[in-house]
Amino acid sequence: MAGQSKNNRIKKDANNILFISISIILIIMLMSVVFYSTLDAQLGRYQNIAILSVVALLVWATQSRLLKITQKPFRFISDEPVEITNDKLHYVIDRLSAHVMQGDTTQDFVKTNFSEIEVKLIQSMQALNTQINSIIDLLKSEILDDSHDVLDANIMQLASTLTQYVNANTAIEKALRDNLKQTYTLLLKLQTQLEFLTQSSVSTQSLDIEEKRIHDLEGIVETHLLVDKAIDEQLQVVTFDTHQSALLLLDLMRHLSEDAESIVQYIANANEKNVSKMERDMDNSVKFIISIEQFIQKIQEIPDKLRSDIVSIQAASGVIDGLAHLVDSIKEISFQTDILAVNAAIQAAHAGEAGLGFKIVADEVRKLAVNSNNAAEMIEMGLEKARHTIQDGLKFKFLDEIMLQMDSASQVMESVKQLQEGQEDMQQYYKTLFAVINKNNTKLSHDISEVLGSIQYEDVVRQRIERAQQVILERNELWRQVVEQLSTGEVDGLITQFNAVLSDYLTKESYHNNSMESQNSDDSSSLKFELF
Amino acid sequence: MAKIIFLVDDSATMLMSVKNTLEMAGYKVETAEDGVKAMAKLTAGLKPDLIITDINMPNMGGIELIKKARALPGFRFLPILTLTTESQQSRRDEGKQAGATGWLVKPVGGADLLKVIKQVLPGA
Repeated sequence: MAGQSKNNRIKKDANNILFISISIILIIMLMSVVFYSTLDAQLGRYQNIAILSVVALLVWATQSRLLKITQKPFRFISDEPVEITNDKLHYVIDRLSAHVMQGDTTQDFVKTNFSEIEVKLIQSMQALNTQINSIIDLLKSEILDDSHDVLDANIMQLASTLTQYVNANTAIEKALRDNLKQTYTLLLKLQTQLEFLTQSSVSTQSLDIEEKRIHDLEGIVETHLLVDKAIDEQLQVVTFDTHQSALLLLDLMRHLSEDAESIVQYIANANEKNVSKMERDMDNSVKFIISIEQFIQKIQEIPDKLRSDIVSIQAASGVIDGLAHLVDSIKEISFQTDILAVNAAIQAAHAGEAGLGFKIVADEVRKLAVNSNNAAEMIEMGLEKARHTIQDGLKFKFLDEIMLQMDSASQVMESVKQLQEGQEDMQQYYKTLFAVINKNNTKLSHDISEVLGSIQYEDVVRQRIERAQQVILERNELWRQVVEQLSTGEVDGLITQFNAVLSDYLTKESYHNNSMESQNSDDSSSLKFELF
Repeated sequence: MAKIIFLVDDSATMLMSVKNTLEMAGYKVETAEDGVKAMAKLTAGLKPDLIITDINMPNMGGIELIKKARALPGFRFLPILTLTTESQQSRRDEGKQAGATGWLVKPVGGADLLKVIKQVLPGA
């Protein structure tokens, strides 16, 4: 391979020498024609034609050479065999992709260089024209004495101009070569490596086949770029979802934190305010309970007291009844005494004067009887009054007792009421507390439940990335096939496979909900719930 | 008696988060990571009141699971919901034909999920 490269260089140098030699011969011919035309007037009329012919030849020769340079395919062949590895292949593929993406830039670069070539060519042609005209003018001057020296100088100047032109041309060629090298290095490097794989000589490959392969490769690279674009679009969705999910989570966490904070605050305030009141209520409750106990004790004592009072009353009544019997006896005695006095008076009347004294006694006895009866009645009235007095006394005693008990009862009622109020306060307080806690818990529960939706984005994103990973794997597998098939034949069939991979990926993605699109979509496929 | 919901999803985060939400709402939750494991539990005697399944799962996907579950005795009228990232109408139709009761597209908030569950589980 190195020998072949050397041969090419030798061949190229020989071509350059040949080109310069022909140019010099043509110039000498031109000068000879001009020189001899001055000697022979008949030849003068051919002078201009000859000059124009030589200039035309020169222009043709340079243009041909330029065309030859520009049309000459550039071949970059590594001197050393390159071992193909996946990494190296991926590197080449990546560079190739990057280069295809920069295709426009490269085209611009080539255009700019061609403009430079044109400018330099025009400048060189103008310089050459000037030189030739000055030689012609010199030859016309007929100053023969100095003509040789001047002619030599002019020829030297012309040679110098030609050298400059050749140098400019070489520089242009080099610039173009560099440019082409830059454009196709990666493609040809890949090609060279593949050619090494096939163990075949590069020289046997025809330019057409190489160009077709490059074209196919470019087609594959374009599809590759489309796959990358599709993946990139999905990755943008992933980024959007992740961002949205993160924002949602942050918002929910903020709500959770606020709700938790408010409930803690409420309970803390409630404790501070209510603990002392609760303590006071409990102290009062204890006092009320003690008074209720005392009241109950008193109520339990009432039956015994009543029993003893009744017994006393019964005894007093018995005594009074006994005294009433005694009054009756007195009344009986008084009545009999009266009858006896009446009988004694009758007997005294029968006795006449002898009975006068006895009659006086009998009257006195009768008076005694009447007085006894009066006394008995007065005793009876007194007893009756005494009985009433006892009964009334007992009655008042009971009333006092009842009033006392009523007071205690009302105090107890008050205590019970206060206890009840205290209990109601407590109930209301706990009711409110539980209502607030319940409300906040419901909010907390709802917030926590809504976190679920955000966490599900992780699953959505994971699946999207998995699909992207899958398509990358399939694409890489196709690249491996590209490498294999490049060594054996055509690769254009793989473009179809690349497109199939892309199409499959896009179809799979279309099955899934696109959160970025569904936000503003009324499409039925964006329905979140559907019951069949 | 708490209703039993059988949750089938290959995503650990999904299983954990949905399970928490459902348990907080008072349901008893059983889980499986794919269709094969789900079928193993169902054939072993698990009698859920509702199945919620993902569609894309390894070993056995949601559509196949619904078809196989429907063929089991006593599962003909059991409500089965899908919970998936897929939203295209053709896939919904596929789910409907397999015997799904409803189609839910991830992500679904807790409140919405419970609302749908109440619709398919009367008295729950």
